[in-house]
Amino acid sequence: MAKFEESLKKLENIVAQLEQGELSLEDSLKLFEQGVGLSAECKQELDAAEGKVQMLIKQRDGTHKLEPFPTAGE
Amino acid sequence: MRRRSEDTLLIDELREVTPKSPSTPQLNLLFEAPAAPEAEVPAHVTRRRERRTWLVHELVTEARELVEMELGDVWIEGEISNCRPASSGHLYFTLKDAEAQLPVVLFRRQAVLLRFRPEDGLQVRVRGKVSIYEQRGQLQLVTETMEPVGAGSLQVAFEQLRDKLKAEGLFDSERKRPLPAFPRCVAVITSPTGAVIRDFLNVVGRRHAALSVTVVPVSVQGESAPGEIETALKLANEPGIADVIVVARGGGSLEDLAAFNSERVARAIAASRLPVVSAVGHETDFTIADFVADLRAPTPSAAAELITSAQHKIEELVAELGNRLARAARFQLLQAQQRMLRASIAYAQQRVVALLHRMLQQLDDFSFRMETAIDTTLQEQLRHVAELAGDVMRHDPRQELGAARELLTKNRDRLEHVLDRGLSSVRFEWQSLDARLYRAAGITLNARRAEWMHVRGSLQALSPLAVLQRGYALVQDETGAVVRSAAQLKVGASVETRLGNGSFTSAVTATMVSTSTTNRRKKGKDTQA
Repeated sequence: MAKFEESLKKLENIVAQLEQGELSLEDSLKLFEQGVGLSAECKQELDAAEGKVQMLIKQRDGTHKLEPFPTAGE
Repeated sequence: MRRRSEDTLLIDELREVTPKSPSTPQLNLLFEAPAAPEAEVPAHVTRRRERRTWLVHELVTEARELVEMELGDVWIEGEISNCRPASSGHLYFTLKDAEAQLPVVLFRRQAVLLRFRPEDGLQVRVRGKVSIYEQRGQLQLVTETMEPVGAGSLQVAFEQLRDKLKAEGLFDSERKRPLPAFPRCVAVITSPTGAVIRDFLNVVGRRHAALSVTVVPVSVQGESAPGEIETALKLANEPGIADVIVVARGGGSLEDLAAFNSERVARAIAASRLPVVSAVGHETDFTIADFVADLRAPTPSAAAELITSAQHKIEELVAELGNRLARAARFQLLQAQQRMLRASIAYAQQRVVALLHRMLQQLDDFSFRMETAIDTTLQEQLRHVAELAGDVMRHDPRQELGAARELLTKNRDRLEHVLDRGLSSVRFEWQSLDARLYRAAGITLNARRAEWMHVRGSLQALSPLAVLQRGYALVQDETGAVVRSAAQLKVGASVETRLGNGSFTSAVTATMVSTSTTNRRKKGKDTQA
């Protein structure tokens, strides 16, 4: 979670730096490469997210277990 | 009460009525009659006093007026029963206690202002006026306001806890954590049954959010609720469960929301590692949980909207950042291309300048060589002239030689001056770096050539040949040496004699050496290059 936010922050910084346009071409290309990597990472994270609905059920031994939530009504 | 009221009324009336009523002597004894008893006796007093038979509506109206006058503003406490909301919006119920009951009406205008929903069995305190519903002759209470009994103390407790936690800084905005930019799993602490979780899941499904929902089931009201919610918050905070927590409950009375106004739940929310969104009650109800939570959603559905929209926003942001990245990189490349283009233009310029410099150098070199050549020639000639001058010294007036030298020097100066000028003008032309340079240089060189020719002419004019023109002759021996003394010659030797125009060869027939003018007797000639 924190990693995603971190990547996003880095990506934002890189884009801002590139948009300033005060870097050498070489540095720009390096940053661009890095940015593309981060962008792909973020996209992947987004795509990997899935909408599961579960319920945390207390077991007899006191531990908890995730079970599918009965979505079709109560 | 009724009796007391009637008594008062009677006495009031009698005070005015007495003077006109001599038939009530006992009252006359009690009251002194006012001086001018002109007032009309009210009809109903007269009627009552006359014990006339009332019409029903008259009596009921009379009673209503009396009751309203006396009990126009009362507080009454009791239990609600037989509660019936009407389609008009008015609310009817019966207020009862162990011994009696009283029908109550709450008109729509006041009913909508209630902060709770009146239900059977609810103990309430009602403020209103007692009246009589004439059509039925029924006593009823017309309600102005109503509050649940006990709500007062709950309210006080609520305020006390709120002030205490506030003083501790639990509500400070600096404590509020932002929702995660990209929430992937939300833990919803609520009742697993009921409308709240259904509404929440509906919104999440409708927005097609890739949001996982983990329901942490709790009772949201009752004795056990605060403890259960506290435990659920701890559970949801365990790693890997969720990245944001929603505490949700539908609306209800202050008693229903008690768990969410408990200190236990407030502190559990404050202690949460993950951001907590409270979604309790209706839009207008605030709970302590709302104050402590990092974000308050007015309803559970609104909480779902909030969290899913954060997710959508982040998707948009990632897409946008990708686009901006590509755009910025493209722009950089374009700029680099332009820089390169500019650089190559600068390079070409440099090459042209270098070429021009080379050309200038050549020109310099050329003019320098030219100068040197002219100088050398000049020097040579001067040397010759000097030699010749030595030869002709005796035959040539000194002035002429002096004048010749002078002229030479002058001409040389002039030549140098002209050269300087020519050079500086050439240098000036170089500054413009164009074809004119060549042209100007050519002109200058021509000018110098002309000058040189002129000088040469002058030199020639001064050469010994010119002397010969005036009738002198130059005699050279066979070796070509100038014969200066007859002593140099032997009889029979062949000498060459140069005249102003042409020369001739002759043989020496005799020599005479004189002391003074040796050369005169000689036959010979000298030439000049």
